[in-house]
This record gives sequence, structure tokens and C-alpha cells, in this order.
Amino acid sequence: MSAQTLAEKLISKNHMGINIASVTIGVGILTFPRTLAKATGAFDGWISVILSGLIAWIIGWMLAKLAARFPRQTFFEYTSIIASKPVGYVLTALVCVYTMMFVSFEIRAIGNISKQYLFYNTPVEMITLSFLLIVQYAVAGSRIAMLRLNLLFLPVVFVVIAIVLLFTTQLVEIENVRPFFSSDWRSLLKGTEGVGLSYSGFEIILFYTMLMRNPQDGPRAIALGLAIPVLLYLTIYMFVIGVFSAEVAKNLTYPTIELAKEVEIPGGFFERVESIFFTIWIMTIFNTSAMWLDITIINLTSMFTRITKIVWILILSPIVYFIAMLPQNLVDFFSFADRLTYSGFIIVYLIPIILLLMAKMRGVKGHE
Amino acid sequence: MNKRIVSLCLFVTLLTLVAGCWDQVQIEERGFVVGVTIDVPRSSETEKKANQEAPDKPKGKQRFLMTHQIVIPGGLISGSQGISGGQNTTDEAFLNLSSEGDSLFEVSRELSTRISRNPFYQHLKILVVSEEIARQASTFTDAVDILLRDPDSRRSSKVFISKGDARKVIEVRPKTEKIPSLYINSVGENINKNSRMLPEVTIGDVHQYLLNQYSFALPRIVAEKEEVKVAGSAIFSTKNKLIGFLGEEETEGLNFLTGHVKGGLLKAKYKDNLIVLNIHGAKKSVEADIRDKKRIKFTIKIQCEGTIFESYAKIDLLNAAIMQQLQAAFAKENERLCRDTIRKVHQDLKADAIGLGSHLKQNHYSLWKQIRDDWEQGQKLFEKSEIHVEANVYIRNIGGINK
Amino acid sequence: MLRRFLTTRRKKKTSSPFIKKALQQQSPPVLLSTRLQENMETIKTELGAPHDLLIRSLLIGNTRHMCAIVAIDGLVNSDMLHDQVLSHIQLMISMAGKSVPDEPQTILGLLYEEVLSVSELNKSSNLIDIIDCVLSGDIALFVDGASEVIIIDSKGWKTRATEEPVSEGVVRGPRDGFTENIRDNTVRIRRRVKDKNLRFDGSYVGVRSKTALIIAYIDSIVDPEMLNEVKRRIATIDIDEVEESGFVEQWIEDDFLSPFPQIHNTERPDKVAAALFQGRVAILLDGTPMVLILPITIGLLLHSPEDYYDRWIAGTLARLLRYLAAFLAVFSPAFYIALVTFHPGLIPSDLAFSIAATRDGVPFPAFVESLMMVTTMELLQEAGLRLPKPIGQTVGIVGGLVIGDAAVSAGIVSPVMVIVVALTAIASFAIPSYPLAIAFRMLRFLAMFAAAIFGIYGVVLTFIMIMIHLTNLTSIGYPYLAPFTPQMPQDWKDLILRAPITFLRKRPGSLHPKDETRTRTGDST
Repeated sequence: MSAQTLAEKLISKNHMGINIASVTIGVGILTFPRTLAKATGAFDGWISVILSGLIAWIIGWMLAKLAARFPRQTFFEYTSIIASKPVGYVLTALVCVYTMMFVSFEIRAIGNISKQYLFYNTPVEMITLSFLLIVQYAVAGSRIAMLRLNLLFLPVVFVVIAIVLLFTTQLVEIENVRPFFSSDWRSLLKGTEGVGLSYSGFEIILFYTMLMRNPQDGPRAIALGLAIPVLLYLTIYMFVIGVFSAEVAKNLTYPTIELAKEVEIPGGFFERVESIFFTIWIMTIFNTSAMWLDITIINLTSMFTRITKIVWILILSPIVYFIAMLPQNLVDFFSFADRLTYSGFIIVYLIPIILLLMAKMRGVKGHE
Repeated sequence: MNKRIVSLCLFVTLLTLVAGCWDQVQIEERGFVVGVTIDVPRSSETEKKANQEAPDKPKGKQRFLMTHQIVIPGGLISGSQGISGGQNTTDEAFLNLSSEGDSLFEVSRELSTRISRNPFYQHLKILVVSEEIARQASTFTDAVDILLRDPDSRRSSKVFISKGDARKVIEVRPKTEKIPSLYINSVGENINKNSRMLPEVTIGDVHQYLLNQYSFALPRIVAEKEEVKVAGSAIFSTKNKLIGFLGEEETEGLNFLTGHVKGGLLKAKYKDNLIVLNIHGAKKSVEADIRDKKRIKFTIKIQCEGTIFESYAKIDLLNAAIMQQLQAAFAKENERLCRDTIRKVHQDLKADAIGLGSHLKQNHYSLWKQIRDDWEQGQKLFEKSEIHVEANVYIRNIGGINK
Repeated sequence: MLRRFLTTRRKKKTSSPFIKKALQQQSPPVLLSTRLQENMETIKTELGAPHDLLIRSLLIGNTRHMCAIVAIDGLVNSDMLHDQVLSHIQLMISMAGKSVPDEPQTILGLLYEEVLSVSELNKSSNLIDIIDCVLSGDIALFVDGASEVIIIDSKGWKTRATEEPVSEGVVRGPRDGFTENIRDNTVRIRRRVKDKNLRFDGSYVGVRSKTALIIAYIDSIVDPEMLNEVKRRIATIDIDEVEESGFVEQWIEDDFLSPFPQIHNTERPDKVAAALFQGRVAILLDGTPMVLILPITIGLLLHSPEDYYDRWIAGTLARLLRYLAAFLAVFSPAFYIALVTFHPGLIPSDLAFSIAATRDGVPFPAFVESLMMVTTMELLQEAGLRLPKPIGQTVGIVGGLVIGDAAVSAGIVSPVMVIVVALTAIASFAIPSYPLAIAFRMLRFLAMFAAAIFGIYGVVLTFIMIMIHLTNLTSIGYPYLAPFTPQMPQDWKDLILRAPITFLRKRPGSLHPKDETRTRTGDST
């Protein structure tokens, strides 16, 4: 292949940003207004959105710096360089477990929410299985093609969200929004923590930097990739509070879907859009889970180079499926999500930051 | 390897096809519920029967008589245009089914034993709750719980409180529409023509009212033989319990005080002759004097504009001085309307349906935090407050003729 | 002439792998005998003395030497054979007053250089070559005693007159189409592309059919990598007969499992010329008016040359309409099934009630109903296609009556279903590329199945699946979805929109053209 076509196998800074945005926007977008309204009890939650976005950006910046030190090297390779091979094995294995659990979580979310809003008798097993098959199909294809799907789907998602929001503007009541600045900093911090969980996902920069045309652009990709969800969350939160008031928002299981349920398009072929909104949201979940599965496989193949991608997909899918079926009810499911994200804090945020410090101190650098 | 994938896919496809289509329900097999009413059962016979059958069954505090209005689509096609294979023999486009129980879900499922088409709530347009249900503590909340919880139902269905039996409301036979619920639904949207009804209140709004610690108002509906009248309003206390009704005029005043007037009319007398103003819209603003916490003074300013639509007085409407006098006369009438409402709400019912507490929360949050629990309850600061009204009316146009 | 073209190129570029392959295909030379009679016998046995073989032996002028003309009757231009060949040979007596030599080789030289007033002459001594030439319409002139044969290019069989392309009509635009004659087709391209860099690389495909194939491209624009890839793939074609460009297409396409066409075929010369200017490659095949264009993107398949001939607003709107049509063609029956059986809540109440009313009494579930109707539509389409035109209309009437009226009044299907099917059919006719429309027709069934199982969730899963497939799909190694993904914003002005022609100053970047700008001033807009 020529240099030009080779260049198309790599991803640009903006593409990386879109990937990060796609992986970040997931289940969190449906639930975060509830967490936030519960914590802050007012419109002021938007401060928390920005605050947690900033924190995520700082962490992401460090992760990007770490990955950029070792261009074209996998996570396993550079952790091995920084902190010896056994540590590399252990760490990469942990990351694999974490990312695989994430896939399970996402597909279970699809099952749960579909079951609540679309289906009554269809077994959740079938809903998740069909979704998992599609994810497998995407991951089995070429990696760059899978990432390109983000470029295709994210704009669609934005257009649909924009339509939903456009039609809800008439329902926004200013009295729901006021008073401003009524929450104290303690509740804002609590809100920050709550929204922060919805930002997890940007750690993919650790694994996908090796595909970037210019790895030094990583920090800027992080900025773009987080700016998109921050803006999206801000708008959605404002609309949710404006339409429902904070008091109601904290009592809705999925406030964002309820927002879509409020929309009525008079005179249209679709009077309601919530199912459309919901199915469009499936696309974002699809992107998220495909990327997580892909990252799991990147890491596994980097450790065990003998086994091919397809074999890994076939090995992982039943495990992912089984884990996804474990949570028994909604409470279990949400606590599974929280525990997952908190363990992520250690595995993919804290340890890589320590690695970055070690690399800086020891002056380890990758080769171009 | 490829073979294995192919066989896996084949297996899954076959599995889905064999077991599949779990949720397929043909559209003509659904019972579209367009209206639901909730009453108190007239007799306690069924209750006794249920008690005999299973005395140890968990029971609710209140039994409900729930009436579903289900659309019969075949009846919508008039005359012989209907499809020859159609199964409907009646001309009617709707079916009312009443059933009672202490859980609404139980009642809804009980319907399945009586009708071939399962109730489907996504096209629910109206919910009418009878006065009796609403007057008891917490039963109103219980009655709307299922409609809020069920992901199938809409937050946008309209809620009405009926004076008298609620089921009578959906039993009217309107001449203009085939389905009573759709008719009521359309009537409920006429706020921009007449301000004597409350703006539409949806189940979603009710959810918000129930969660907030304010009093609130819901539209009142009265059934007659062939029509309903959506006018007046029902006032609920902070305990989410109906405490009284406002008449038509009082509701108009309430709409002015809450700034919900979109249209309607104002009458005034000029030299013993009636002059009528068509209202285009009204705005309100509230000023609160919070120097004395125990006696907060509110001034509600109303600005209203409109066009002269009828004038029995033969006067020169293009005269500036006369115009001034007319505007003053309309303003006076407007203030009277509002004052009547305030008297009823503030002094008789003692419920903050005007939303003054909400105003304090929005604009004087630090004060609100202190008095939140003493507003309508506790020290009852609302009752102790003073409310003044200042109205201004602007006549923007005089219609096609002068005299 | 083609052969000659190839031989000249062979001298220049023997290093190219494509040419090497072509060389390998040649059979070992069978040397010519010097005896005329023997040669005639060989030819007769090789060809089996077919009925249309024309062998005419005659004396050359006033010499004692015999010569023979070998040709296939009907393939050669008979006027030329008489006026320029036969009569000249017979009247060779008094050429420029010189006496006629006696030596056969000299006579042959004389014939070659002086006597025959034909523009295309060749000499050959390889019998296999000669037979090939005769079979493709040349005249072979054997001289008794000479060790070479003169091959006279005189291809001149009857061809169909050019007609307006049936499969791709336009309101505004040129009316000529390609024909079955490859020479006519190259002329049509040449007349539109007078660039000196236009190349026609010829070869033959089909071990037995020996069909002429020409790769056309503009050398100073086309991406050389791509050109080599195309040539490499064509060289791999190993089949005995190639009747239509479809054979070539299926041999060289990227993914044979895909329902989507990865190579475009057209019978419009203007379309081919435009594609060449964009940096694409065209493959012409003798015997078919369908010319292949490659590589392509899905955007190209939804474009029509008329988008460029009309003003840009009309062009843009037409394109938007076609993208909508593409969506409807695949998903409208699926949406109907999903909405009617799974999510009636999405439909406005009044519409939902009236659909329910019209479906009252229909004995089949919506899925079976639509499956029936869509299948009927496919049947009608197929029947109308194969029948002679006068009967074809009857099919339309019968189908229209049966579907439109009888089925509804018999209560087998609902009127709404008829509307949906009609919409689907019209939408799929609005897609300019027939193979793409076929792909959509197949995917329609997939979407309907998914909708029957999972409702709108299934429809979205199908959509995601199609998208996964499309992002993975390539045409000659170039991403099929370009420039949607990989994103090339500079190409977007000629994608869903068609920017004013003055703005279109660059060739599609996804093709990596050597010369990127289309204007002399470059990108100085």
C-alpha cells in the first residue's frame, strides 16, 4: 500500500476526539441528570458538569502524555518498558478484565432499558445477544472501519438529540430553572463525583494513541473529545431541569428518556420520538461497546501474540454475555456500574499516572 | 473457522425465528385506551365478595372504580365504507368498561378477562379523577401513581377533576366527535380562546406538583348530557388533597394572577354601556416586600392588552381621552376579578395556588430556605401575608369600525 | 490494431507485471510454412473449415505466383476487400512501370510497402497469431513461397447504430450511448477526452472468447497505485469466456459476499468521461455497451450526470431526494411493521386509529402482509423486465389491479400497506444505479425480518449492521463510504450537496489523483 493509503489506516486528531466523545457518551447520558439533581437539588448542577469535565480533562491530559511518550507501542509494551515485564502482564490483564466488564455493562444496559421502554415479553437474553452479535461483527472487521463508525453515528445522534431538544424548548419553564446559585459547594462536589462517572471512557487514549497519525496530538484530542460530552451534558441537564424541575428529575429513573417522551411533534408522521431517540441512543452504546471489546482484544493480542483476533472474539463473547446476565435487578445493575467505574479509577487512571511519573523520573521514552 | 461462525449465525437466526416475535401485537388487536376515569365505587358488593373469597389478601385503603374508554377503530369509519371483513357490528367508536378494585393495575389487568383487545395506554389522552377521590387524603396520589410509573403511559395525558361522577364525563355523547375523550382533549386546549379554564395540566405536571410542597390547581370538568364543560378549577392543598373549587370567574382571576391568560375577554362599563375587550395576552410580575418575614407584602402587577370587539356605547374610540378612561375601566374590572380570586384562595381556602411561594424560592432563596416549612404549614406565613393587585390594560386596536 | 498496440507497448514496458502476465498467455509460435497449400490446409484444420471461412486464391498480377486471402466472411469490410486489396493485387502488373520481381519475399515486401492502400498493415509469421487475427476480423494475405503473412486490418462488421442509453435516461444531457463495438466506444470516449494523456491499454480476456478489453484512464490524473492494482487484478482473470463486463466485474471485485456493487457499470460515455477526469479508471469490453467504472463510492452510485448539467440547486435537491429514496427503499416496509406491530404509540393517535380500522379484518399479521406484498412487487418487477414490451404493459395493469384494488377489497391486505409498498417501489426506482437498487431490495427483506422480531430496535440493529459492512467494504482498496468516512470535508461539496460548479475546483481527494486541481488557477477561489 502506498503512503497515502497507509495514512488512511491511521486516525487523525479530530477522529480521536470523536472516538473519545463516542465512548464517553453512553449509559451515563440517560441517568446523570437524576444523580446530579439528587446531589445539587437545583439547576446549579451545570457547575458540576463543567467541574468534572475539567477534572476528567486533567487526568486525560496525563494519560495522553503517557501514551504519546511511546508512539506505535501498545499498552502492554510500554508498561513493560516502564515497570518490568511481569508488572506489564498483571496490569494489562487487569485492564482487560476492566474493559471486558465494561462491554458486559453496556450490553446489559441495552437489555435493561429496551426491556423497560420497548419490549415486554421479549427475553432480555435475546435482546442482549442480538446486540452482542452486532458488536462482534463490528470488531471482527477492520479496526479502522470500526472506528470510522463513530464518525458516522455521532452526528446522527447529535441531530436526533437536537430535534428532541428543539421540540422541548416550548416546555421549558423558567420557574423550574430558578433560583440560580443556590447550592453549596459540598453538594456541588457531590454532583461532580456523580457526573464524573459518566465521563469515564476517555482512557481509550491509552490504547488508541498507537493508531494516531501524530501521537503528540493526544492531549488536544482529549480536549476535543471531552468538550463534546461536556457541552452535550450541559444542554441536556439544562433542558431536563427546565422541563421537569429538579424535584421531578431526581425521581425519574431515566430523565433523558422521559425528556424525549415529553416531545410531541404535531402533524408529523411520528407524533412521539422517544422510541426513535432510544434507538438512536443504541448507536452510541454500540460504538462504546465495540470500542471496549476492541481494546480488550488489542491488549490480549499484545500479550499473547499467537492467538488471532477472531479466536479472542469467540472466546470473549460467552464470558461477556455471562457477566452481563449476572445483575439480578436495577439496583444490582447500578451498583455494578458504580463499582466498575471506581475500580477503573485505580486501574486506568491512577496507575497510568504513576507510570507517567515513573517514566518521567527514569527518563524512559519509546522509539519512533 | 468460517463454518463455525456460519453455523452459529444460522443457529441464532433459527432460534429467533422459532421463538421470536414475542412482542408482536397487531395494531387492530390493541385496545387503545384514550380516557381513564377514577371514581369511588357506588356499592360495596364486589368488595364484600372479594373479602369472602380471600380474606387475608393485602388490601388497599381505598377501592377505586376505574372506567376505561377504549377506541373501536372500525366504528370510526362511517357508514358502509368500512372494510367488508370488519368485525364490528356497532356504529359506536368507543367502549366504556368499568371495573373496581383496590389497585389500579389490578383493575387494568382484570379488563383482559373481559375484552379481546388488551388495553394499550400509549394513546391515553385524558385522566379524569372524581371529586370524591380527590377529597380524601393521599388517594389522589395513589390514583396517578400507576400512570407515572408505567413506562407505557405518557406524561402528556391531560388531567381533570370532575364535579360529580367522573365516568359520566366520558359517557357524554358529543355531536362533533365520535370519541368523547378526544372531544374533551380538544376542549381542554381552548385556553387561548377562553381564560375561564385552566391551561392544560398533564400527568407530568401533576407529578411535579405532587413532589413540590405547594398548593396547586387542576382544571375542573362538569359533565352534561351531550357535552362537557371545562371551566373552573380544583384547588389542592399541600397535602395533595382537594380542598375546594374555584368558579369560572375565579379561575379567570387565577389565570391572570399566574400569568397564564392567553386569550379571553374583559367586560367593562362605560357610561352604562357594555364594552368588551378581546384579550391578546397578559403578563404578570410579582414584587415582594420581605422586610417583615411574618408579614410579607406582595404586589402582583398585571399588564394586559387587547382589542375592542364589541362596543354598545356609541363613543369615539379614536379619542385619546376616552381611550384612557376605557383602559382605566378595564383595569378596574381586571383588579376586581383578581381580588375576588385572592379572597377565595387566600382567605377561604388558604392555599397558595397563585405560586407566591414559588416566587419567593426563585427570587429570594435565602429567605425561602428559612421559611420553607412555615409557608403553608407550620406558622402559615402565607395566610399572614398581604397581596395587592395592580392592573394595567392597554387597548391596542379598536376593530374594524369606530362607532 | 489492438494487437499492434499491445506489441508496441510490450517493447516499451516489458517490466510491468501486467505485461509479463500477458506474455505468458501467448502460445508458443507455430512457424509458417512457405508452401501456400500447406498453410491453407493448416488453417482449415485449425478452424475446422467453418462455413464462414473465406479463402480466395489468386494470381498476383501478371506473375506466376499464387497468393491467398483468408478472412471470415461478415467480419471484414467487403468493400475494402474488393477495392483496396483484391483489385490492387490483380492489377499489380504495371506498378510504377517497374517490372514485377520473381522472388516471393520481395513480392510480399512490395505488396506491403506499395500495392496495398490500407492504413493498417502488419506482418507476422506465427500461424496462431494469424488465426487469432483472422478470427477478430483481419484479412491474412498469404503469398506462396514467402515466410511471412501480411495482416490487413479491415474490421468492418455490421454494428448496431448508437441509441439513447436505455438503462440511464436523462432529461438534459447527451443522448448517445455505448454500443457493443469496442472501437466505437473508444471513439466516444476519445471525442470527449482530447487530452494527450488519455490511455487505452488493451488486452484480451477469456481463453477461448478472446474478448478485447481496454483499460482507459488519464495518465496524468490517475493514481498509479490504483492503476497497477486494477491491472494486476485483470491479469488474474482466468476463464474461457467473457461475454459481458459483469464477468470482469465479478472477477476483480473486492468482496464477493457483499450485496453492494463495488464496480459501477454505465452505458453513458459522458459518465465515463467524467469519471476519467476525476481520476477513475474505466474498463471497456468488446461486445457489451456496459463500461465499468472503478473504484467507486456509494455516493457515486447515487449521483446522476444530470446533477451536474442542471443548475446546482436543482442538482442538490435531486440528490437529497435520492438519499431519502435510498433510505425509504430499504426501511419503509420495516418501519411499517415496527410501527404497526410494536410501537403504535409513535404514530399520531388519529392515524393509529385509522390504520387499526383499515387493518380490521385483515387475516395476516403485518409482517406476513408486507412480505406478501413486497414479494408480489418483486415478482411484478421481474415479470415486467423479461417480457416483450407489449406484454409488459399487461403485467403492469394486472399487477396494479390485483395489488391496488382486488387485494384490498378482498380484505387480504390493508390499504395502508399498499401505500407503503408503492412508496417503497417508487423509492427504489428513484435510485439511479440498478445494481445498487438490487442491493437495497435484498436488504429490505433483512430489515423486515429484523423489524418483525425486534421492532424498531431490530431496524436500528440492521442499520448498524449495514453500516459496519459498508465501512469495511472497499472498491479496489478504496473505502466505499468515502468521503463520509474517512472524512474528507473537501469532498463534501460534491456529495449530498452539489456545490455550484465554480466551487468544484478539486478532484475527489479520496482517489489520490496525481493532479488535484481541476482549474488552471488551482484553488484560488
